[in-house]
This record gives sequence, structure tokens and C-alpha cells, in this order.
Amino acid sequence: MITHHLSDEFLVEYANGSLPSPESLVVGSHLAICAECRDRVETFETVSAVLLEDGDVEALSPDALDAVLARIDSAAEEDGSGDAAPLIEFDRDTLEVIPPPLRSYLDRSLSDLDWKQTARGIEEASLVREDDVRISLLRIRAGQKVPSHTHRGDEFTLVLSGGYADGDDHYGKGDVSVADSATDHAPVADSDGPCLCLTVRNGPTRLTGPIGRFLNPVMRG
Amino acid sequence: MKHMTDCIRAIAERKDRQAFEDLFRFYAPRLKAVLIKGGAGVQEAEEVMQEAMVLVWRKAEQFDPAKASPSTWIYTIARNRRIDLLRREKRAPLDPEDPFFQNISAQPDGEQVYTEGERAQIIREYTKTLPEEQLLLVQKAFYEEMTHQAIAAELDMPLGTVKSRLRIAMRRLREQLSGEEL
Repeated sequence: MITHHLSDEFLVEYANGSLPSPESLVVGSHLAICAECRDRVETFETVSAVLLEDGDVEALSPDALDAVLARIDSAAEEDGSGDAAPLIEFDRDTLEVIPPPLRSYLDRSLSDLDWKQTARGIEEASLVREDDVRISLLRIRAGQKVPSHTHRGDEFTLVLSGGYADGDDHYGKGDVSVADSATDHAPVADSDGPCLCLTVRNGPTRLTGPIGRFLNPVMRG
Repeated sequence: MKHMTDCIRAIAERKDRQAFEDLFRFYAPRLKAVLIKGGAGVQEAEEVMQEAMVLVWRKAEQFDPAKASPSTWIYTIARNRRIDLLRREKRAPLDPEDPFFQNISAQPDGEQVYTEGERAQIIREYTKTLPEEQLLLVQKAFYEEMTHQAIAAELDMPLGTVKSRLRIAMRRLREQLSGEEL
């Protein structure tokens, strides 16, 4: 039962295609798990479709139809739908845990990723590390407390398996948390098993607790 | 839009070119217009539109009227094509047979009591009832495909106001949709 969904703001921008790729990855992965938000997005897409039907028309190039028919006839043309992406043979565990929209960020199965311990009981596999964006998988040991931290930008966390508590809230598979720079949180993984999360960060993480400040250089990686 | 559903079926079943031309004449100029509104140049809009229409032909067999209205299906094909061209991000429909869905449902709980055509009709009626200030925001977000931030900047409006007005408009829309179920 998913209790922490994404707000309409993200779903609307996802539906109209204006949401940047890292955030879209979080939304798309949540949608794979959450039928309720998927239905919302379908409603938003239908709003766009209705406005399209009633919307403006733009003059086409004079040979547009002929050009399209010619492309249809040329069987050799690649269909461009993305099916040509190199296929990686993921193991069963990976296929059951990693939502389809996230798979193109992995170059091998979960257990073979380059896991690095970033703090006690916490391992991170970095998927994207750029100036402004970091996308990672986090594996938190059962019962492990994550050092208290805030962020300079936004942090999206999507639970892929297991769960964690943060204050009075519990997050299980499919739940999303969106933390901005004002949020200081200290999640604790459930005691009955490890917790795997997707995290997307728009700014460097800062540790705030007494131990955290000590670990700061480590977490910043 | 029943005719459009029939057209897509005719393409799927017998590669019917006349049906494709009907679809093309209706959707191509509208897709090009929406792509330009969304920020594409005229040439780029023409190219994305043409590629999208080729995909409409090729994917016709995948069209399921129980899952999407013809316009919604074609709109998402064009949107996905645009995203494919601009970014590393790829969007593809979810495959219910994927092992990922072994333990979770690929379908929403409960049965949807309205058809996709009815959903579109409820939405069309709803947009007609929107006050002008909300309709403007809905147009910007859903037709011109702008971010909330860009809408706020263009209309010189606080971001929070844009977010809350759109949130209210969408909540009312969902009430309309669920009201139809009762």
C-alpha cells in the first residue's frame, strides 16, 4: 500500500514532457509501482489530448503526407522507438526490483554493481554523477540509522524494496519522499531486512548531526 | 473520435492507407502546432510530427481503445518521440508481462467504470466550465507543455499561486471523474 505519492506538480510536468530527466526517472519509476498515480498521469495526458483535438492547426510542408508514406514504405528505416538499445541480461532479482524506466541506467545486475560503503551499514552504487545531479542506488542494512542530513538542493528517494521510518512516517516499496533544503531528516531502515532506494539529488548532501559533520567528506564522495 | 479509433484499427488489421490519410489530415497539423507551442522550431516540429505519424502506422497493432483514446495515444507517441530526440530518457509503455509486475499489479485497483472516450468527454466538458484564469493555466501546462516555473515567469505570477491553482483545477477534475463513477 503506497502512502507517499508524488504531488500533481511533478505528475503534470511528467505528463507534458517538461520535467527534467532525473526527476522524470523518479516519477517514471514510481508510476511503474503505483497504479493510482499512473491513472492520474493518464488523466493529465487526456487533458493534453483534448486540448490538442480542439487546438490550433499548423500548415504542413507541402509534401508531408508523401514523405511520411515514403518512410512507411521504406522497410529498412529504423523505427526509432528506442527498441535498438543494447540489451543487458539482468538476473531475475534485478528484473523484479528495478522498475523498467530505471534499467537503462544500469549496466549490469544489482549484485554486480560497484557498491561502495559510504557510511556504516550504507552502500551506494552511483549511476550518474554530474555537477548538478547525482543518481544512486542506496542499500541500507536492516535497522541501520542513516546519519541526519540536509541538502542544498532537492533529494528524491524512492523505495524499491524493504522500507524505512523517518520520524512518524513509514516508507515502503513505491513510496517517494521529496526533501528540499529545509528538510533535516534521519531515516532508519526497517529491522526485518535491508532497504534498497533510488535517490536523485540536485545538490550536494550535507550531514548535520554530530557524527554526520564528521562524515561529511565521505558522504560528499 | 469513434472514427479515429476505427482508422487505427483499419491500419492495424489491413494496413489501410485511406484510414491513415484520415488520421494524418486531422492529427498532423495539430501535432505540429502543439510541438511549436512547446518550443520546437518549425523544421523540428515538422520532423517530430512526421516521425510520430510513422510510429502511429507501425504501432497501430498496439493501440488498445480500453487503455487510451485515439488522441491520447497519438499525443503520447509524439511526446515520447520528442523526449527521445532531446534526451537520454526513453519512455516506453509498461509491459504487464515484465517480471517486475510479478508481485505488484500492473493495473489499477478496481474497474474503471468509464471508457477512455468517456474520460475524454468528461475532461472536455470540464475545461469548458473552468474560470478564465484557471483555463489559461491549464492551457499553458497541458497544451503549451510549460513547466510551472515557466508559467509563473511568463504570467508574472508567484510560483506558489501557479501550483495551487493548477492543483485545485486538477482536484476538481478528479472529482468530476470520480463523480461519474457514483
